[in-house]
Amino acid sequence: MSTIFDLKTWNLCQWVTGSLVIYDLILQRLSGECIISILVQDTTRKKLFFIEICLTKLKLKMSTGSDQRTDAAVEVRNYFLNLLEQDKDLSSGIAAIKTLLMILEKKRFDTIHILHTTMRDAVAAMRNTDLSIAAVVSGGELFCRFITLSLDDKHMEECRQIMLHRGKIFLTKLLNSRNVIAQQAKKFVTDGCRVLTHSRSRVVLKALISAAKNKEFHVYVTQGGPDNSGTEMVADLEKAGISSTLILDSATGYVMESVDFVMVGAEAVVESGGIINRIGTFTMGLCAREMKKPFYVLAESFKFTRLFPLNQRDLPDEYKYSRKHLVDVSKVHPQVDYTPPAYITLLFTDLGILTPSAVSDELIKLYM
Amino acid sequence: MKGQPTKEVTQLIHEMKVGNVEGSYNITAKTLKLFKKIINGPGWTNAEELMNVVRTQGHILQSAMPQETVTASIARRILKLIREEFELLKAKVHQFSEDQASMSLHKLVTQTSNDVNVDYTEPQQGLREALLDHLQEMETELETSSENICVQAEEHIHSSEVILTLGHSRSVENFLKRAVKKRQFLTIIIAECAPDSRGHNLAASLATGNVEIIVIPDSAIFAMMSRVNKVIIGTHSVLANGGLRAACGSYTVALAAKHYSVPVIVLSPMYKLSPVHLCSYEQDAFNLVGCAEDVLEYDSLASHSAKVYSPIFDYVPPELVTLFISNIGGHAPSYVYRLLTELYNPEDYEI
Amino acid sequence: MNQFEKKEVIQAILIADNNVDQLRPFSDENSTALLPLVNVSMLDYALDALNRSGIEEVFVYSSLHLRSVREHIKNGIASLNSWSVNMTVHVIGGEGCRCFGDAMRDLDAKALIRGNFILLGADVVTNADLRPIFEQHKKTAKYDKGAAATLVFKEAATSSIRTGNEVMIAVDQQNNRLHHHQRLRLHGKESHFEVPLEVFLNNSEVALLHNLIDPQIAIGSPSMLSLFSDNFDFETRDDFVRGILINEEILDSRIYVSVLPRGQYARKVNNWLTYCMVSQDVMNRWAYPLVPDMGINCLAQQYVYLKNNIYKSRKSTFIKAALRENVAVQAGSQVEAGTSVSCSVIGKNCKVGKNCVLMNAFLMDGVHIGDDCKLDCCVVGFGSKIGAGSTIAEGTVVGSKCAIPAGKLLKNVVIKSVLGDDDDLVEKLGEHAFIIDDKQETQSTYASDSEDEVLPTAATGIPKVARVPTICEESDYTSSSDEDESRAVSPLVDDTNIFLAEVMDSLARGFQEKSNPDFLILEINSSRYAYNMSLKEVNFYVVKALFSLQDIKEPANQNVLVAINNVLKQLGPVLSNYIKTPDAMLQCLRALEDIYEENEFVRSKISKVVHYLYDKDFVSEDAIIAWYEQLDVEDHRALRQSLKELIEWLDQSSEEDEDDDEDESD
Repeated sequence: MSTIFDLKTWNLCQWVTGSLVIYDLILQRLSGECIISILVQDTTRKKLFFIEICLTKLKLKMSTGSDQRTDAAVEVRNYFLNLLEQDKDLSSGIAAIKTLLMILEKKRFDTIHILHTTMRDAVAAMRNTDLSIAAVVSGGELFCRFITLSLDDKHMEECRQIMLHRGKIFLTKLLNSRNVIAQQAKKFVTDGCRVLTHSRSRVVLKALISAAKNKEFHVYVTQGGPDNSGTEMVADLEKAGISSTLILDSATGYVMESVDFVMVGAEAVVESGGIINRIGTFTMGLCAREMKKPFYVLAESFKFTRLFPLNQRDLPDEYKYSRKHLVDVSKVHPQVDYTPPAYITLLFTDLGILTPSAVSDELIKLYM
Repeated sequence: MKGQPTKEVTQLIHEMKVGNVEGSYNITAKTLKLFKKIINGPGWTNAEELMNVVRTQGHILQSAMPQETVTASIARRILKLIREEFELLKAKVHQFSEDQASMSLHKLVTQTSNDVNVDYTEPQQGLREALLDHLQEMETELETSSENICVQAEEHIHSSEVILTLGHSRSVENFLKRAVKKRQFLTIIIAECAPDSRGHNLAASLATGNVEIIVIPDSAIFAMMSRVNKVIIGTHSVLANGGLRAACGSYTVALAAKHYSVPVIVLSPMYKLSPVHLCSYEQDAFNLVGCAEDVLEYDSLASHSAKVYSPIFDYVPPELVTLFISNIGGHAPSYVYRLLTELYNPEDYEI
Repeated sequence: MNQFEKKEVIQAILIADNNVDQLRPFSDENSTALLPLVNVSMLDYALDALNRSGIEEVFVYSSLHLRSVREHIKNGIASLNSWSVNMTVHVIGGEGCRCFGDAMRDLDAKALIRGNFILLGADVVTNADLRPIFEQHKKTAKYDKGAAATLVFKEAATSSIRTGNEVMIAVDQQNNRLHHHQRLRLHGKESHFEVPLEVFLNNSEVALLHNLIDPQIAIGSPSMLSLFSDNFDFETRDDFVRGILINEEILDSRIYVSVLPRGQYARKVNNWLTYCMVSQDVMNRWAYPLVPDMGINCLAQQYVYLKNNIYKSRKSTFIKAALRENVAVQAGSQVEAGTSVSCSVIGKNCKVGKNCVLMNAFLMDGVHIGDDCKLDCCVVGFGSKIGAGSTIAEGTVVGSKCAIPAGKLLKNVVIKSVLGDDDDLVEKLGEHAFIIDDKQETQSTYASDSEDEVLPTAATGIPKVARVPTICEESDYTSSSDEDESRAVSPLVDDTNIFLAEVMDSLARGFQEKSNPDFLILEINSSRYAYNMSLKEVNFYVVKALFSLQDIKEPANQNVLVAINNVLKQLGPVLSNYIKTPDAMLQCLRALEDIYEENEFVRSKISKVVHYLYDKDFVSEDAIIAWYEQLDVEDHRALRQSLKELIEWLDQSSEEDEDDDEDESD
């Protein structure tokens, strides 16, 4: 049954002068009511409005664009998405941190508390994109954490300068993290070996390209449905001169006996030492363990996050499904899965080569 | 890092190659003496120079005998010592209290300056004496490591137990001797460990009236395992993930023990810990292949057509080890990474 | 107290420049001691071996190329080679020294050697610990003042490959004294050896060992050098050994022998064939710890050791090339795509082109191989260039700095870059490639054993690199079980056949010469005891032999009965001597069965024959009946058929002549 809402019936004229551009449309269920929130911008007045249509009660509500929070949220989102547009190679976590740094730079804060809330809102805004939120969450939280650390009662402006300074160094280090990981991982790639990897991971790509400079090896890449990003990975590998084969996700078991080890990236590393990665990673881990092949994970340190899932269902829904499917998850499949630490041999991070049990140690050191 | 080895280093390498110095304990002791001499000597004025010297000599030692990781490990420990001492002295002077411990998320996030490295080129008073003091402590620790391991024998071995061991390890020998003194009715099964059959030496040394010794060939390990209560083995070195590089045959023992759910206890003093990872079995200098004539005689007809392979070490994965006993106590294989961070600085992992 | 005792320093002599002829063309350009074997010069191997045995003073004696040897030693000490620690090396040399003997005389003149010393050539690769042998020699020397030297040998599988290092010696097992020494020939196997009888007469426990390799390592007493000075005709080591053995009483010196135990390898490189064999042995880790990845001449490890005995330097590059097995590649070398390398050594800074096949190829530093080349069993010297598409095979030796043009096919030749004065040119390939004649007369050091044995005098080339054939032939192992069985059966078969033949002989002779039957019986009896035949068999075979006589086999006028009559007239007593008991008669008749099968004349008249025998009282009626009954119905149907009448008649007559028969058969 479909219902057509004719916006004309609602008197919008008092709010709108020119044409409307719709920026975003969210379907939410709040306190028992189904609400569509439409973020629109008036092109002439450049003002942003939120139109909330309550479907159950067929009521329309408009909030004016002079809401600072929505403004800021949109700005943040745009900046964030822009960053990712410009540099395909940038990890979403780093983009998030960059965005937060930008906010720190541009905005004025009077108290730390306002700073906190601003940061939190920004993270929430970035979460509202369609990208996987795991990296954003962990990166953002790390940044927020570091802001609140060891700031004695100095002057606000001084604090801000210190934080900016730290932030920039933090960022520089993180930008280099992929190189550090590639350096460590390439020792494990030997001449003539066969590597299995899952779908597309930029860290793994970088590590393999760096290893291919003086070694010959072969890579099996799974398709990584449903967006078939594995194809892109194979194209990148071939461009770098590495011989590779694209295989079906379901062929993991078949090919496992002929490979020497498995190397995957991660979207997030959880407290137990396990990882959250694209769907299919868990199966690969199970298979690798059964066939006694090493399972290596390449992850930058900002992906460490304070989750402790015990099984697949424990993973929060926002991680698994895109926003638009959150209403009814029974008919959709998840984007990511959780691989427990028992199936992981080693984690390569820019903090060093860690065993899964060492990860929680690292997190404790940070957050305690 | 190109550099000329000192005379003592050349001498030590020569002795190791010829076989005059063998066994991790002896090599460690000699290496310590060597570095002590370097620190005592006049070749450096500040911490940076000393670290360079130590690093160079450590690198030379390691590239000459890559399997003997204790030499490089001692170099790493000394480097960490130098850093710590330097900072301690500096902190006393400047009243800082930075914990320059290993790289961590915390550290990542709280850097105050762009220059991560402390400036080691400042000359520091009292560094030499402090270092020599510490080296003396290290020497004492080395000498007492065997004793400290043996003291724990009573906790782990009880009367009327059947214990299996492989080959001839000094630590295991002393450990078992202590157990024999304190416990009754022990049975010790010794796998002889071809091709050198060093298990025979261990059997001879342990044979007293109080204990029953059984010597078995390596092929009988699985068969005897069902009757064994504990497996106690020594190792050549412990890798960064908790795995072992042990005498050839240890993997067999560990797998058999896993099958029968027999706990595997590995005795390894702290100087055997090494931050090396096993990348692959083909890894350069992981394993050493010995003389072909140990396996097949040169004057046999097959010697011209058969390929003979006599590896000296085995890799035992950390899942198969139940407990490590070192001179500072017992711990699980998954804890090894923590011990490594305490012993060595991650910047020195690549010497 | 101990510090005042002068520590005995063990001295050693290394003779460089051996085998100049056999290792051409390298011997022309540089000392053979500096020839690289798996990228380490042989002098370094020898020095390292001495160092490991705890030797502290070494004299390297070199006559040709003295300067390069000296420089090499200096470089070695400067770069802290492992042998330079705890050991001093002196290089001494003299012009005008043409052979081993001259070198020894020169050393004696210089009087540098104080006591017992170790003597080896610079071309020996060994990992043996010489200290125990040295101590043993000292002990022997204490008992026997005339002990001149102890020679060291190594046991090896004697293969069909001869390298010129194999010896056959006679050793007294009680005191390890050498009594006979002979170097085995390089070409062709000896058909026999001659050992003087005195060797066996004078000593109670002599062992002849022929499975030994002579690495030419010896422990010498001070008297050894003076022996050389006294006897100017000692030119080579073999001369020395032979001279001592022959002139034992005059010279009052003795030589002792020590065989290396298991686990200690020693081999001498005296020609390209042994060069190949020793390279393979080193790569196969028989000479551990002298293996390529243990850094023999430098402090750091040079190679990465991979499975299948592949030693790859970290600074070498392989782009899609296949390294099969037993390969050592030094730093800076490059092997291009599609090439396959196995059982080869590649030196520093070499370049091997695409799609080549290298098998048993030994490349020195700086060699350039073009694309699509095939190198099989060859040696290529420093800095040489091989053009594309060439095939170099069958032991070819290419000297240094040669330039072989493209597309050449070279087999079993020696090539030099610059033609020297005493080289015989065979063919000119290019500006820097000349094929020279390497033929030489076979060495006269191999003692010509006897005058009637003609030594092959045809000149042959120097022994070159070749693949060592696998020794086991199938027949050695697979037929062992068959051999056992046949061995168990054959003596009997052989013996009975021989016995039969002999009996036939005797009978035939006896028949012809009409000799006394008693003598014939004697002969047959002696044959019987000779071949240990049982009574039954004797009876059987005697009858068989009798009926196999020529006369019966082919009777005149085809009348077999007459023939039998004739024979039995003469040889009857022989038959009756053996055929007395019923058992014997049965055997006789059994023999007749066989004859029935073989002889057609007898076949047709079998019943008459049996009747005849019955008439002549050779066989009794009971025997015949018993035999007839046990004849198988199926198998001997025809026979039974023929005999049926006779049997019936016998039955009848037996009833009638019962008493007579019984009397007769008593």
